This record gives sequence, C-alpha cells and structure tokens, in this order.
Amino acid sequence: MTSLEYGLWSIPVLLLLIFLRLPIGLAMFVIGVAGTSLVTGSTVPALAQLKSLVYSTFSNYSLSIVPLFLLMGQFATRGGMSRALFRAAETFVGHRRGGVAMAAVAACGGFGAICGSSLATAATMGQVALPEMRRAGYSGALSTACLAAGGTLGILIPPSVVLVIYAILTEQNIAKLFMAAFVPGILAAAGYMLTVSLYVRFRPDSAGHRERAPWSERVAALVGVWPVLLIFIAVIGGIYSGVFTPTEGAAVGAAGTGLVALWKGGLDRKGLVDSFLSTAASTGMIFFIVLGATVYNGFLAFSQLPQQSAAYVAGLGLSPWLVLILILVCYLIFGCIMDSLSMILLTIPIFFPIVSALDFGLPPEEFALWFGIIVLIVVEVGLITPPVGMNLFVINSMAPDIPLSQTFRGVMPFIASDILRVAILVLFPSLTLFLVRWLH
Amino acid sequence: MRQTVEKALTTVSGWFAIAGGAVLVAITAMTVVSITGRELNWLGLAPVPGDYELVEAGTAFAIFAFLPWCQMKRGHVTVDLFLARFGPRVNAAVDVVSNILMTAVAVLIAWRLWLGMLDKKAYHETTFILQFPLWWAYAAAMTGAVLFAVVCLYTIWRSLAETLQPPRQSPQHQES
Amino acid sequence: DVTLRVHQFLPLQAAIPARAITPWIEAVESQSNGRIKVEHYPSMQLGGAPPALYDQAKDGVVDIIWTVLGYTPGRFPRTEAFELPFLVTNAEATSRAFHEFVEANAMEEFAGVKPLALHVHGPGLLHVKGDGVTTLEDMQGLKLRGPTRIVTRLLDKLGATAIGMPVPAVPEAVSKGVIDGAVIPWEVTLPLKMTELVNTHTKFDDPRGLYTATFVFAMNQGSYDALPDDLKAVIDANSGPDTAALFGRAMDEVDAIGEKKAEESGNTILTISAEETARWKEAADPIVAEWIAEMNDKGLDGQALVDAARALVDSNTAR
Ligand code: NA
Ligand code: NA
Repeated sequence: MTSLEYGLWSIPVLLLLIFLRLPIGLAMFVIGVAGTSLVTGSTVPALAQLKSLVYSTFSNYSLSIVPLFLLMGQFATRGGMSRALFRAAETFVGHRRGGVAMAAVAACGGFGAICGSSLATAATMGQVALPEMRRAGYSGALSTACLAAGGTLGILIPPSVVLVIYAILTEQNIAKLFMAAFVPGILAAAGYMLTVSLYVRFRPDSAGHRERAPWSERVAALVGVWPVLLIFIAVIGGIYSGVFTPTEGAAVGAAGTGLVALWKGGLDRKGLVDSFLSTAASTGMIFFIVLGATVYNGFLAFSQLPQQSAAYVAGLGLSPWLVLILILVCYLIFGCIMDSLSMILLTIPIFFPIVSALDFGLPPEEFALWFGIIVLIVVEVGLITPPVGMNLFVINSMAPDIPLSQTFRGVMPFIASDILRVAILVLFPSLTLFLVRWLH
Repeated sequence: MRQTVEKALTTVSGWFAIAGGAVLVAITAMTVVSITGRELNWLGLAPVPGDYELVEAGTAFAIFAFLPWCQMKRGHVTVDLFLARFGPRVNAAVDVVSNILMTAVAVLIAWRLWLGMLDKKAYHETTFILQFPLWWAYAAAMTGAVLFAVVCLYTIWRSLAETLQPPRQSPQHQES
Repeated sequence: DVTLRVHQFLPLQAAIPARAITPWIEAVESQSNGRIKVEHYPSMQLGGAPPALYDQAKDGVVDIIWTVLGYTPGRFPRTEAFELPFLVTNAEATSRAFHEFVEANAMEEFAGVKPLALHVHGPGLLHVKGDGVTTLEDMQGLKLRGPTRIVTRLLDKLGATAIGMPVPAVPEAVSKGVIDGAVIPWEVTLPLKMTELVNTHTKFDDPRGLYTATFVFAMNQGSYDALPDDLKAVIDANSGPDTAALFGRAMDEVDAIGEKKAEESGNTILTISAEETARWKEAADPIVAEWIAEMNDKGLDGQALVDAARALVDSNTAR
C-alpha cells in the first residue's frame, strides 16, 4: 500500500475500533503508532518521537487552561455558584412552558461567561439542573439534551479553550476573537431557548409545570449571583484591559471561584479532595484523547493524506463559497466521531491555508475572525452529535436511568438550531464582525 | 485478594490525583502572584521568574498524576452504542482486550518517557529562565506514568474477573 | 531513489522556509537529477513541540530538521558565544562565522547529526510602545519580552523587566499592554505584525547589533551515511559555511523588508548614538564576564570561545 492508502484506510479502522468500545484516545494512539511505523517502514520514528511527545503534549502551555477550567467548574459547584445561577434563571422563566429547561440553558450561558470549557460547563450545570428538571417532571430526553447543548455555551461564549487554540494555530489576536464570539454566543443561547420552547410545544408531555416565583424571591436569587458577576468582570475586564492574557485569565477565574468556594465553606477537607478527584477523572479523560489525537495526527501527516486532499480541493477550482460549505460539511461529519479539540488541531493547519487563499470579500484579518467563529460552532456541534458526543456522554452518565439513545434523540432539534445559526452567520459576516469593527 | 489490591491501588491513585490537584492550585496561585507582580512593577515588584515554565512543568506532572485515577475509575470515553445490548459479560470481555491494549500503551509511554528523561539528563537540557534541569520535570512525570502502567495491569485482572463473574450493573464510562 | 523528510516549526511563507529551505530543496533535487526527493513538512506537522526537533533528526524520526538552538537551553553551551551582546554584524557574515566557529570549536555538541547549515538571524533591536528608547535610562521599568536567556539577563541588568513568554503570545500581550514591547530582529516583526502594535524601533549606531540567536539545519547522520557517494556529494555541495551564509542572507533580505514596512507605517526609528552605545556595551560587559565564568565552571575555556567568535565575525564581515 502507498502512504496515502494507509492514511485513507486508517479512518474506517479507527471507526471500527471505536464502535468495538475501545477508548477513543486508545484507538487513535494505537493506530497512530502502527500507521507511522507502516508508512515510514520502521518503528524507529514512532518510538523515538514518543520519548518527548507525551511530555510535551501534557506540558503544552496553552492547553494548561483546560485542567484549570475543569477545576474551576468543581469550585463553582462547591461554592454554590452554579446553583445560584440556575436559581436566578429559574425564578424568572421557570413557570413558563419548558421554563426550567430554558433556565438551565441560561445558567449554562452565565457559567460559560467565566469558564472556557464545554465539558466543565456541562458537568457543572448538569449536577445542579438535571435533578431539578427531573423533579419538575421533564422528560429524560429533553433534560439531558438541553444540558448537553447548553454545555457547548462554555466554549461558544468567551472565554473559550478552542478559540485560544485556533488563535495560536492561525496567529490571530485572541482578544479580538473573543470579541467576535460574543454575539454568536448570545445567538446560540437564544437559539437553544427557542428550541426548548418549540420542543415543548410539539411534545407537551416532555415538560412539567412550576409555580411562578414571587418578585421577592427573584430579587433574592439575582443578588445571589454576584460572585459570578464579580469573577466575570475580573476575568473579562482583565483580559480586555490588558492586565493579563486570556490564558492567565483561566488561572484568575479558578482562583476567584476557589476563594468564593472557600468563603462559602464548600472547600473543607472533603470538598477539596472531592473536587481534585473529579478534576483528575475528567482531565485524564480529555488529555488521553488529546494525546491519541496528537499521535494519530502525526501519522496522518506522515501519510500525506491531509496535504494531498488539501491540494486536491485547491486544484478543483471551485467557487470559494462552495469550498467553504464543503469544509463545513466535513466538520459536521468528522464531528460525529471526533472530539472538538483534536478536530481543531487536526484540521485547521490543513483547511485554514486553503480557505484564506480564497476571496470572500473580507480583509484577511476579518476573514480569519469570521472563519474562526464559524469553525468554532461546527466543531462544537460535534460535542452533541451522536455517536461520539462528549457532552452527551457527560450528561447522560449523570442520569443512569436514561438510555443514551433517548439523549441522542432529544438533542436533534438542538443540532438543527446549530446548523441554522451557522447558515445565518455565513450569510451575514457582519453579525460576527461588527463588534470588533466598532471597538477598534 | 483482588479487593485488597483494588483498595490499595484506589488509595494510591487517589493520593496522586490529590497531589496533581494541589499542583494545579499552586499553579493558579503562582499565576495570580505573577500577574500582580507584573502589574505593580512600578512599586518595585516583579513577576515570578520563569512563571511560564513552572506552569508547563506543573501541568505535565498533574496530568500524568491524574491518569491512574482516571483508569481506575473507568474514566476513559468509549462508545457504548452497539455493544450495550450484549450484556455485561460480553462487555467485560471487550474490556479485557482494551485493558490489555491500554496496558501496552501505558508501558510504552513509561518506557519512552524514561528514555526521554535519560536524554534530557545526558544533554544537560534546562529550562529557559530558572535553568533547572529538565529531567527533574520528566522524573516527576515518570512517577505518574509508572503508576498508570501498574493500574492498567490491574484493570486487566479486574475485567477478567468481571467476565467470569459479571457485576450487577454493567460497567460504563463515567464522569463524576 | 531517496526520499528525505524535512521537518520544521514555521509556516512555508516565513523567511527561512521560503527563502532558504525551499531553494535548498530545489537545488538538491535538481543537482541529483531527481534522484533525491525532498518532502517539506512545515509548522510541526509531523508532531511534537519545536524543542523536540533536534532530537527528531538525531533519532531518525525525520531526515532533516531546522530549529533554534536556544530551544534546548544547556544543550549547546559553546554555541552561546554567538548569543552574547554586541557580537553580530549582519546575518550573512555572522552565519558564515558561526558555521566555521562550530566546525572548529563545538562539533562534539552535534554528535549524531550532520549540520548542513549553522546560522544566525540579523541584529535584534528594541520595538517599544510610546516614546521609545534612546538612552539607557529609558529602559527603566519597561516590560519587554526577552528572546534568549542571555538577552533576558541583559534586559534585567539594563533596568527593564524581562518577561519570558512564547513568541506567539507576544502580539496580544503588546496590544493589551501586558508588555511594552519585545526584543526581536526586523524579520520577526512581520509575522507578529509588530509595526502595527508599537510606535518606535530602536537600533544602534554601531557596526554590531544588540544580539542574535542561533539556528541549525541538520541531517540525521544515518540518513546521510546511507546515501550512495554521488548523492552524498550533492548534500556536501549544499552544506557548510556557504550554505550557512545563504540562510543568513535570507534573514538579511527579510530584515530589510521589515524595516521598510516600519518606515512606511510612520513609526519612529530611533538610533542610539555611538557614545550612548558605548554605555550600553559597558553595561552589557558583566553578562559576557558571567558567561565566561559559567563556561569555565563547565570545564570549557570561556574566554577562548568569546575571542574565537569575535575574530571569526570580524574576519567574515571584512570579507
Ligand atoms: Na466560555
Ligand atoms: Na459528535
């Protein structure tokens, strides 16, 4: 077989191993090492590279924000911040039809404004909102699906891990990217709430009913949100005023959340140990996948599959818009089986040069911002598309009585809302760009 | 016998996870101190020297220290879609295979990390600012990598036992 | 007959990949009549972090790499003589000097690889927001990103606060005021878009620039040894001080483009006078003395290395 054929064949083999229930990171790692050895005709390159590859992957400065955001999620739970966010949203909209699910989405958006990780957002808000929705009589499908989708707001609303990685890969200004992500992020939250309201209109049995909360309770709940607001102002204000970088902002957020948890008494010995253990489990899971993706990506590059397909697409002479649409469709397909971080790492070095050579009538920097936000969304859709959707797994594992297939079914309308949003943002670049233009 | 080993390894992995978490907290605090020093530099304060490399070395240690706990608690993501209907025994048998592969990978990682550490030591490589020997950071990571391999080895045993005598509830991926 | 893989950390359009590595590949492919085929993998496509590149060539992960020697501090102590302040003249002459220097003094540090070109970048200078730097006193309290460990130490000695951060983090840190500027050659201002971020650029009225950094373009020894003699000859013809000079010239060419861009954008280009430069050199002397002492501790003759470096730079610049 030629190198290229090894690259092509690796894709169905990878899928097969994943469906045979091999851990995803393990499958990518094994195929990556075996494939590199086959393509280079020797085990030397793969083995020699591993001497420093694992350490350098785990010590990557820009990825250090991932465990910090996960730790922050734990502290937010211990400090009652996630509960406060959810309570505040619920007292306002909880009595409407589907209101508790809408409150869950809104609370995810609020938490996403301080946390840059989707998994951390899904896990943190899921712990609070899932039991509440079940108690209020919401169906398993709707309650797990709306939280899985809401969790993606962790990354769609800045700060955002994926945007940091994109900025590094494409040499863009992270602060401007965050700014560009604001309006699309708020559109996402609004879209998910609209989806919930349509969902319960067509499936009235999937939502229960709650009493309207009196204004006194609403005010009290709003007041309870102040620590989140304070941390939001510190993190976002600090990033935009130049006190610290977005990467350092993760540490500031984690420190602030930790202090609140400490003050609220949530970080006694047991609380601290529990938050470390939970952080360990989710960090280990994510980084094992990142490691597998790194090894697998190296093999793909050796096989020249990405380079050749990029050259092939460029040689077709298609219209820029068609190329863009093809790329977005690729992302949606890949997103069904891949994790968002590894997808960005794998594809941006290939796709970005292709698309930035095309003319979309935008200056290069604005194009890079716009493309980054659109890619961010399609990649985040991958977190909620079956069969491999990390957010679906995270939320579903919190509710052992709900079969995964129900969660899969429930999430479909939310995926539809994502695709609709992508179409709108593709058609109207100024929705993404006007804030950046206005502030610069 | 297996219960004793399970308990012991859970305890040790837990310690490692806690140590990793403590390092993350230290990174957080150090970053905040460094930002403060940089911002108040007109008061004669200064950022923490080598803050970036401390974050890198600390994060690497923490992640290596987290891997054993993740493996012990069946934390790795799998797709349960198709095999779920085959019941706990078949799934435990699949786990035997994937744990054997996982052990092979864990041993490979530890072995290569060890050689990498010897390289860094032999070539006297240091960090940029603080200039501490890079192999120290590798050695710290090594402890987690070795425990990860040991835990993987044990999980083969665990899944073998579950194949012969399935637990009530099928083991599933979890995220606590 | 033979396929060689080249791996490096910058995108194809950057100075060295575009103006040195790509022409080198074309030369090797045509001089071997197509018997050597070279695959160029930019931007760390084959995996790993940039500091791993050198070992990738040494261990045979790939055949050829291009990297910064400073990415692995402590590993090439003798080559640091070229990173000392006020040594570099222009990149072409200094690169030729550097290759000759390593061949004469530091080959044991490159055991296991065949260095094809050992080169440097053009003189580094100060790129700063606000009024900029014209005297030593202006350095007080400036937060500057330092490129190498020696320059980082120098900045602290000159009264500035050296911030150690990765290069890609610089533009954002400057634009937000996390740092006031950076110390880099003109060439690096282009990918970082520094002219848009700072107002001033400070150079020295002196034949020698503030600092330089060292690079290696190296081949796995086994890959070289496995070539038949006539193909070895092709590689030999495309390595050595002349090849190093070509890499250096690519740096000089792009430095000129960077400087022109700064002029056109209306930024102020400041020059530190000859007398003032003498003060800077005096302030930098302790750094050289410290480095010599450090080498002596390692059992090397620090003073001899510094003298050899200066002599080679002088003779090659005068050529
Ligand atoms: Na966020
Ligand atoms: Na998916």
